Amino acid sequence: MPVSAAPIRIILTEDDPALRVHLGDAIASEADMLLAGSAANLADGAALVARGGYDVLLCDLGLPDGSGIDLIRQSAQRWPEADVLVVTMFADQDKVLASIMAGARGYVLKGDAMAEALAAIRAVHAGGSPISPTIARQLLRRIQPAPAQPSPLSDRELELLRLLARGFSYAECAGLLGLSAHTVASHVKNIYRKLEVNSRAEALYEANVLGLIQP
Amino acid sequence: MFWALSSLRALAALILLLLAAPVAARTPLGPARISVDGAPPITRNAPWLAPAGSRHLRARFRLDWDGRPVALLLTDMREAVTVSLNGVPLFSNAAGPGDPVLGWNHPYRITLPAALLRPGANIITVDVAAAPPWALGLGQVEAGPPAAVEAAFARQQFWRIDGPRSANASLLLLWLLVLLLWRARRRQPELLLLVVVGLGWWLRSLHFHVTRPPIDTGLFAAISRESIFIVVPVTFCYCLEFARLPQARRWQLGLLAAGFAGLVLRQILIGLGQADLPSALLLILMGLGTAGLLLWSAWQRRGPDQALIIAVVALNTGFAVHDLGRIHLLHWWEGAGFFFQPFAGLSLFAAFFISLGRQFVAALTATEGMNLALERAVASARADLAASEERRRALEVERAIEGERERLMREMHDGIGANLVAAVAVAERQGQPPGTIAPLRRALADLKLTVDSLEPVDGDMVALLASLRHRIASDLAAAGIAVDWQVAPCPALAWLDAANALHVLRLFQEAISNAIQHSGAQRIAIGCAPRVHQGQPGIAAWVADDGRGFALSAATGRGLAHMHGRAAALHGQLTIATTAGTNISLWLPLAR
Repeated sequence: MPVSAAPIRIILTEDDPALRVHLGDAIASEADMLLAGSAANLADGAALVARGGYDVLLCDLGLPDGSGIDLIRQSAQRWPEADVLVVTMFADQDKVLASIMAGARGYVLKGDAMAEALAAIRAVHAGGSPISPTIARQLLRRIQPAPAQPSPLSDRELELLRLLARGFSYAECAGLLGLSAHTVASHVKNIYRKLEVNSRAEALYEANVLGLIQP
Repeated sequence: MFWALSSLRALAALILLLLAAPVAARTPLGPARISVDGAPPITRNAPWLAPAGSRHLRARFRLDWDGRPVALLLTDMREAVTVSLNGVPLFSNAAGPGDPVLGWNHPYRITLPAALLRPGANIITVDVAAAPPWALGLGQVEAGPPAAVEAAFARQQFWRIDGPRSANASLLLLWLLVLLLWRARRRQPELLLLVVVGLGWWLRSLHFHVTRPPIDTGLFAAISRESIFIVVPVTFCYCLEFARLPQARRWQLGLLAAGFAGLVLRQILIGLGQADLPSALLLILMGLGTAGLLLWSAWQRRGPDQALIIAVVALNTGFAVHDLGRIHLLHWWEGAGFFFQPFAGLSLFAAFFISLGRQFVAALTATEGMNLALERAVASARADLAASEERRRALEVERAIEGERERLMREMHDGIGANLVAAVAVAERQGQPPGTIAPLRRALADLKLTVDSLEPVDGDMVALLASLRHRIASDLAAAGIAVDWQVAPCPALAWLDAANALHVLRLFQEAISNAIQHSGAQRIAIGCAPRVHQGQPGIAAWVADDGRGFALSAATGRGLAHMHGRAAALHGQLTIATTAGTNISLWLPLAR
């Protein structure tokens, strides 16, 4: 890791004290990372987000005073340049999908070795996103039910999602599609971004229909 | 149509047969010397109608006798008649002078006694009397051998009297049936119309065969003469009603108005001493018009089968023309020698009755069909309802399972999972030895596998293996083992529920962890593909390493027993080969 580059500024919202301290320590001990702040609940996390000045937000979903989804949404709207990683136990599809639609760009699995969490932070900062076959499957299912409408994803992105849903790794997908592994990772990030934009457009449309938004 | 034609043909043949009876060997007498109400005699040929208002006429015929037996046939005498031979009264249809007997349509035969006959010229005196409003008229007197006269008489008696009487009785019977039908089905106004038609024709035909009317002579005469102007239009009204003619009401009103006009016209003509030809022609025109309308409606394919009715209306219109030419005042032709009209009522009414019956039969058949269709529809609806109830119940069960699954996942996630994660974090931070941390991590990995099995994969083996790979990717990477990912698209296993998915996941987890811990392999191939086993379609999934073949070592013995147990629970076939590395292959049937 080039030392000359500016460190990745990270803020962390996690209610479990053991994990929060453990993650915070791991980040602080890395030369290319900087723990810009950590919070144990939604209110403190919102204050951290409002202050800004971070590159990556690590956010748990089940906070004592509310859902981490709201925090993710605030961050994505206020600081679209910052990347959000959701901290989850099992990468279970519904929660990760909801987080991605709120603006998250990936996830960190609780209980994995710290090295992997740190790798995920570096990857998302470098422009790539992690994905699991289950999430890829779920994304495909979300995209398929309306065949009449043009898919928000390109053919290449759809092909990539199908390979990922069948369990192929980034490196294998890259080989099969004639891309670099880095390009595959950034494709996934793009897919997440499109899903977020798409879901926001859907929400706007529905809000308009319901008369919630005055033009 | 064919049925109507063939029945008409049979009727025509019968008529021809009866008409072909011997008519030869009779000669009409005449001319006669006729004296009306005591006035000086005039010479006229029969038939002859006396001026209106006359009460009595006496006609003298001359009969030359050749010595052979001779008999007389009298027809169309209006109304009371007395026959004398050479001044000796031989026959009278009246009980005495002034008897209001109706004899105009009756034939009479009189055998002349040889004792009263003189060789050469004899005088036949025919006294005819009529009480107003009946007209006074002299009919035909024919002479011939008794056998020939008898035959002619029998024929005339049948066609003029017995036939019409039977026809009228039959008409009355059919009419009674229709009357009962109408009482049962008041909502069908055409039935009432038919009741009127039947009664009208019955009344109209009475005077053809009745000699002593049971009611007042004047009223009976009026009914007999004028009813035709009501009966005919009403009959045709019924035809149009039955045919469901468009705008039938307008045509029916026209017919009734024409009938009324005919009635008025006839009164005027009679008053002027003219033949009632125009009013009779009006009736014939109405018949032709109705037949034309019915034909047109049949051509348009509207309404029920009217072939029989059209044929009978046309036939009776022809009969009306025949009868018109036979009336005294016109006498265009003798025709069949009798009037067809007494048969009009029965023929029309019978045709209506038959058509109505066929319509009822068709309606009954249609109702039966409808009932059958209805029963079928009800049965199908009931089956649909049962199926939908079944689906609803299945959906409820599914939803209950789904809810329970979610609850379990949440429990594991928030409870056991969170505590395990915290324990790992604390242990790592405190620098606990790997012997402490590894079991904690294994417990967490087991929990994740269980949660993965709860994830609905719709029986997709590829998705199941993919999630397994995702879970163990970091362990394989840590062990420095490369993965050869060999999944091919596979058909869905409908029976692969959460419990079976967990068996598959645990079986392959065991296989892979054995490879990591004991084989010393560099590469591991994981894959699945459709495969037929002993003629049965299914899917094969495998884990193959390039290690030293650990499978039969004591360390893995218990693990292998577990794998065999899981394969049996899955109704699958587990194959373990250790020739080059270890190849563990599980075959699963598509259906079980």
